Amino acid sequence: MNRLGDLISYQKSPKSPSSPANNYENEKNRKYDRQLRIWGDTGQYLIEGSSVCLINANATGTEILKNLVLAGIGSFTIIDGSKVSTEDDNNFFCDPSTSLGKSRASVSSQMLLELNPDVSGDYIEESVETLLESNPSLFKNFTTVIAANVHNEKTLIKLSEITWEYNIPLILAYSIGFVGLIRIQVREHPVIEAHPDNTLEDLRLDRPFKELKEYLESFKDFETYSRSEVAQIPFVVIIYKFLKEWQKAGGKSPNCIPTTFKEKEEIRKLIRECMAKIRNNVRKKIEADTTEIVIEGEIELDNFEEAIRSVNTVLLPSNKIPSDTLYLLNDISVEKVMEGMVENSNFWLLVRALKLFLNEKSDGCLPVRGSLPDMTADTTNYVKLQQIYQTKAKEDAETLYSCLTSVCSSLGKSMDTISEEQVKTFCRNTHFLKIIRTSPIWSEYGSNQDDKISIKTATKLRELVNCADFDGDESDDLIFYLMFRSISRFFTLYNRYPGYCDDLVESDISTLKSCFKDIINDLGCANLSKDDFIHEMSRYGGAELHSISAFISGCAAQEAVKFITKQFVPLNSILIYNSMSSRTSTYQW
Amino acid sequence: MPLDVCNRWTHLRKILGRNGPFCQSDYEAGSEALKFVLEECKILIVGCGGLGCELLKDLALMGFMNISIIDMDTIDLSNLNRQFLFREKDIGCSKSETAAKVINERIPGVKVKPYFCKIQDLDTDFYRNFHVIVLGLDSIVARRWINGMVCSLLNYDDGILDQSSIIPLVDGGSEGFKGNARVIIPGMTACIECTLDLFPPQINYPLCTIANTPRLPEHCIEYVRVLLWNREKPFGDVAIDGDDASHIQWIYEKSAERASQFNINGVTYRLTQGVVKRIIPAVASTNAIIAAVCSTEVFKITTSCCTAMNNYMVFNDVDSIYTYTYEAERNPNCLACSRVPQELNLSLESQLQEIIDLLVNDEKYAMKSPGLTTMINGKNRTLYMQSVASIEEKTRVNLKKSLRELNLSSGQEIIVADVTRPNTSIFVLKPPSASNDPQSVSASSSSSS
Ligand SMILES: [Zn+2]
Repeated sequence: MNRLGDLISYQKSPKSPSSPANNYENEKNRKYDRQLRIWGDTGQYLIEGSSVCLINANATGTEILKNLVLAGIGSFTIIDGSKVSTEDDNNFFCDPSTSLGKSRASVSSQMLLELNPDVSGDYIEESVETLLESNPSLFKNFTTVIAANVHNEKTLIKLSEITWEYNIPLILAYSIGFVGLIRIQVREHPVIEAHPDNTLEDLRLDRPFKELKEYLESFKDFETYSRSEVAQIPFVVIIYKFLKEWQKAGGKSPNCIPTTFKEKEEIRKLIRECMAKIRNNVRKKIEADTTEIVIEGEIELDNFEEAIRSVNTVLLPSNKIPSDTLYLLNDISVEKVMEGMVENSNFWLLVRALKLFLNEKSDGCLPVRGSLPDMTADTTNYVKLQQIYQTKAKEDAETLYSCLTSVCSSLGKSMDTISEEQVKTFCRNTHFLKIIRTSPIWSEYGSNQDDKISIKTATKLRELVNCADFDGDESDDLIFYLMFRSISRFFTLYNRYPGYCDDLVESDISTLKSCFKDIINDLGCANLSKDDFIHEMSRYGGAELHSISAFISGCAAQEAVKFITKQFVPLNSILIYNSMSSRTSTYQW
Repeated sequence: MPLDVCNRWTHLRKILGRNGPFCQSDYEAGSEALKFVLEECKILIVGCGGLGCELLKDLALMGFMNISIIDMDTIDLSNLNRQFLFREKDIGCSKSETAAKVINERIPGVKVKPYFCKIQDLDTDFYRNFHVIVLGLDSIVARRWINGMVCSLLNYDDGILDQSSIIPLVDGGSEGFKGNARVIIPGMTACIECTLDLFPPQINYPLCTIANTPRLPEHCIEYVRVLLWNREKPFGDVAIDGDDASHIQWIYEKSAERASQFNINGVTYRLTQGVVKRIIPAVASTNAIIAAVCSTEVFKITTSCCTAMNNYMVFNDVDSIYTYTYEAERNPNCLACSRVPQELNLSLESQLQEIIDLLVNDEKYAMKSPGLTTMINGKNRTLYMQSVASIEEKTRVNLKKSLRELNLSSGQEIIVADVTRPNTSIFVLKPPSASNDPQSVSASSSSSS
C-alpha cells in the first residue's frame, strides 16, 4: 500500500480543490463545510486518503477514532484481542449491556462505522503483542498509528522501533484517574502550512522592490492633497515617507530602520507633526472659504493613526530569516537530498531551491508572501498596492520554481511530483516553515544503552527530572510522566494495573513504589520519593474517567489530523493533563 | 445477557470510593458521592450542538442519570462532521429530541429529557431545579441570559449569600482549534457579565467602507447583504435565508460582480456563505476537548472529590497543545451578580436616546435593544420600547426629549429590560454633581427661581 508519506505526493485531487460555485453545494462539501474552512480542500483530500491504525478500543481509543471518523478519514483498522466486559460501560462505542463477551474490536468498529458512511473500517481480533510477533510489517501500511493505554514495555519498544523505522507517526494516549498523557513519536515531519496565529506582515518597507518603490514614491507632499484624498492614503505609504525623512535627517543608509524605542518615537513624531499640519490647513481653508459647506469637527485621519500604531510592527529587517527557516536551510538534509537518500525529499528539494533563491536570486530576503492587511484606503490605492505585492509574490514563486527545476535537473530528477501550486504555497509560507523531529520512544527505555540516541534522551530526561520542583502547589507535572512509567513497569510485571482490586490497594502501593524507584534508577536520576503521587495513582486502579479520556482523545485526534493534513504544528513530544489542577504541561526530550 | 448492576460503574467506584492524598479536604470517600451522581443529581445542558452532544455523552457515561437538554434548533447536514449523535436520516429533526433518544437507548438507566424550545420559554421554576447548568452555546446573548437567570436565583439573607441558592454554571466555547472553558459560582466568582470583554469583538465593517471604498471580498459581500438585498428584493419581500442555496447563489453572483468592478479578488461561494451566515469553523476534536473539560468540572463540583477549576481555561492547539488557566476577576459593580445599584450619570438635559446609547455602547452593559420604563406618581410608564412595534411607534418621540421634559429627576428609578437578561434591571438616575456640569448649574438655578 502506498503511504502518503512524502510531503506533497499527490498529483491532482479527483474533486478539483478549487470548486466552482455550481458544484460547491454537493453533499460532501456541505457536510464537511465547517472543517473545510480550517484545513481546506487539500487537507480534506489527505484526510480522505488516510488510513489510521488504533491499538486498543477502550474508551480513550474509540473516542480518538470517533473524532477522526467524523472528520472523514479514508479507513481505520482496530487492533484489539479483548472481549467486551462490564468495564466497557465508560465506552460509548462498546455497550456491555448488549455486547458482553463479544470481540471488542468487532463491536466498536461496527459502531464507529455508523458515524460516517464515507469511512471504511476493519478490525483485527488479536493483541498487539501477537501481531508484532506475527506480522510486524503490517504497521507500515498506515498513515498514523495510535495506541490507547498500551503499557507493556516490550510492546511499546517494539511498536516504537517499527514505526520509527518507517517514519510513521506514532501517538500514545493514556488516561488514568484524573491524569492523562500523550506521547508523540515521529522521526521527521515537515510542516509548510503552519497557520500561525499572530504573524508579522511582510511589507518590505526597508527594502522595497522596484515596483513597490515606484508606487510608494509616486505620492506627492501630503499637504497638497484634498481633505478627502489625504484621509485615504494607505498607512504603508505614510510610514515609508517618514522613514525616508527620518533616514535623511539622520544621515542614515536607505535600508536603515529604527530599532530602539527612541528611534521609533522619532518617526511617530514626524507622522504626528504632519497630521497636525494637515488639520491646521483644513481649518484655515474652511475659515477662508465661506462658500464651502462647513463639515463640522476635525478631519478624521484613521490612516495616520494606523501608521503610528504600526511603526513597531511593520518596520522590520526584511532580510532577517526566522530562526526555524534558518535552521532548515542549514540542515544536513539540504545536502543529502542531492544524494537522493532522504525522507520527505520533496520538502528538502524545496528548501534547497529556497537556498539557491536566497543565494542567487534575491537580496537575501525570502520570497514575498503577497498578503496585505486591510487598512484605511480608497479602493484604487488599496487594490493597486495589493496587486504590487501579489505580482511580486507570483514572480518570486516563478523564480523559486526555476531554482527548483535547476536543483532537480542537477539531480537528474523529474519535476512532476511538485506542482506549481505547491511551490506557491511553499513561497507563501517560507517564514513559517517547521520541522518536527521527536526522540524515539524506545530511547526512553535505554534498551540499547550504547546507542547515541538513547544516551542523548537519557541525559535530557535526567536533567529535566533533576531540575524539576516536585513540591508544593505548583509542583511540576513532570512527576506524572514518572508515574506513568512506573505504572507501565508494574503492568509489564503483573499484567494489571496497581490498585485494580480493592483488597490489594495497600500492597500495590508498596510494589508501585519499588517500580518507581527502579525507573528513577534506570534514568540515572537523583533519589526521589513521591509517596503521595504513588498513593494517588494506585487508588485509581487503572480507572478511566470518561471525560479525562475524552480530553486526551480530542488532543490525540487533533495531532493525528496535523500529521495527516501536514498542516499546523504537532506536539513535540509529551503532553500531561492534570485535571485536578485543570492544567496541561508539555515536555520535550 | 442482562447486565449485573453491581458490576457497573467500576471506574467511578474506584475514583469516588477510595480516598486519595489530593482529594478535597472535606471529601469522604464511599458510596455516597456515586449515589448522588446516579440518583439525585440533576444536570441541565443548554445547547445540543457540537459541544452539547459531547457533554451529553460524557456526563451520561460518568453516571449522571438525570439530564435535561434544551435546544431550539433542528439538524442540518453541516452538523454531521462533529455532532456525532446525528445521522443523515435525522436531518430536519429536533436536535435535543434526537440526541436524547440516542443516549437513552444506548446507555442503560439514563433519563435524558429533551426540551425543543428557546431558553426564554422556560421559567425560573424550571431553572431552579438543577444542581449544575452546563452551557454548550455559540450565542453570547443566550449565555448572558442564562447567567442572568442563575444570578437572579441567588438569595441573600441580611446581606449574606444563601449557599443553597447557588447553581454553578460551567460554560464552554469553541472556534476552530481554539476554545475556552470556565466555572462560574454565581455570587462568588466572576460571572459572564463580569467579563464581557473576554468575548472576541464582533466584526462589523463600517457602512461607508462597504458603500464607498470596498477593499476586501468581505466588503463586497456585505454590500450585497446589507444594501443591495433590500433594494433589489430578488425573491420578493423576504429576509435572507442563509440555508437557502438560491439566496446565497444570488448574493455570491452580485458580490462577484461588484468585486470585479473594483478589481477585488477572492469572492467565492464558500466565503459568501461564511460571511452571510457568520459561520464559525468547527471540528469534532476541539468540541470533544472543551466538552471534556466542562464535564470534568461538573463531576468535581457535584461530587466535591476535587477542587473545581478557578476559573477560566483557554485552549489552543494550532501550534503544539497549549492551555492556560487563570482566575478571571469579578466586577464589583456587575449588573448581574453584584448587588450594587446601577447609576446613570447623565444630566437631566440629556435626551432619552443617550441612555439607550449608553446601555448599548458601554461594554459593561453591551445591551442589544433596551426597553425603558419607570414609575411616576405610582403609575407605570413606558419611556421607550423597541421590541413591540406599536409601542415603539408611540414612544419613539420620547427619544429626542430631555430627561427633564420627561419629568425624570435625580434619584428616579429606571427599569431596563433587554434580551441579554431574563429579568429587568433597575438603574438610578444620578446627574453629575452641579460643580462638574455647567448644564446642571443652569438647571438648578432655573428650578430654584
Ligand atoms: Zn458578574
